[in-house]
Amino acid sequence: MLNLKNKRNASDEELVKIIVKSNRHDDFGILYDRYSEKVYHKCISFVKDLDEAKDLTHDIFLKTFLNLSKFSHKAKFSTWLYSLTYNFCIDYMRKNNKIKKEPEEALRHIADDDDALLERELMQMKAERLTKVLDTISVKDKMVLLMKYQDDMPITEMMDALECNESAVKMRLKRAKAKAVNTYKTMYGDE
Amino acid sequence: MSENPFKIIEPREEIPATVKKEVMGSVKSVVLLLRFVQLFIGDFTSVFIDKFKTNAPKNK
Repeated sequence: MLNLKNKRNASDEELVKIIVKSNRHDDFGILYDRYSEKVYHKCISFVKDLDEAKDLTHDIFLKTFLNLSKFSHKAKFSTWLYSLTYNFCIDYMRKNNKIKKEPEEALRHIADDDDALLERELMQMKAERLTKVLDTISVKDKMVLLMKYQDDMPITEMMDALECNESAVKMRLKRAKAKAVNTYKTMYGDE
Repeated sequence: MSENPFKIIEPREEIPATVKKEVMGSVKSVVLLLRFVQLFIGDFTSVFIDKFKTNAPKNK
């Protein structure tokens, strides 16, 4: 059995194996220390309320502990945890009627060569405007964009997190980028 | 190249220390509850096996 110092140096995936085998809750504290800030920040960016984010963080970690044995070790632990966090926040918002109905808009067909342009426009947005854009588009589009540009998740990890194939991930990403850029233009014009 | 605005908008608030206490408290309660349930299931199984042995034919 690993001692505490070795456990602190163990990878997330090794720790999960140890916790599932021993059911020792204090080992789970190591995983909590590694990811609590990130999870808390994700909750804040969805619910915008510190108390609600605190409660959500508590519930997400409890759910994580209860589901550790279901972690398949195919994806990284962080990918699995972030995916659980996003889905938990979206479910919470849906149950509490916090999801605004997305305006129906006919998305123009996005050609392949538009993708780089969309990304450039996204990266040039001012931070406070981007926050407003992300709060306007659907939560699922917001989740996809945060996975890609805030968590730096590669496509392969997004495939695990979203449980879909490569082309579906790329399409969702492209549509989310287009929606964000269109929303920005609607809100602020072509500035 | 300008800085990635997604990194700028990431919240910076520190998570209150009380959250860890609450999480670990809840996890501890769940573990205790699971062990309690296992204790009963374990006893039930062992009682069942004892009963099975008692009723087994003596000539085997």
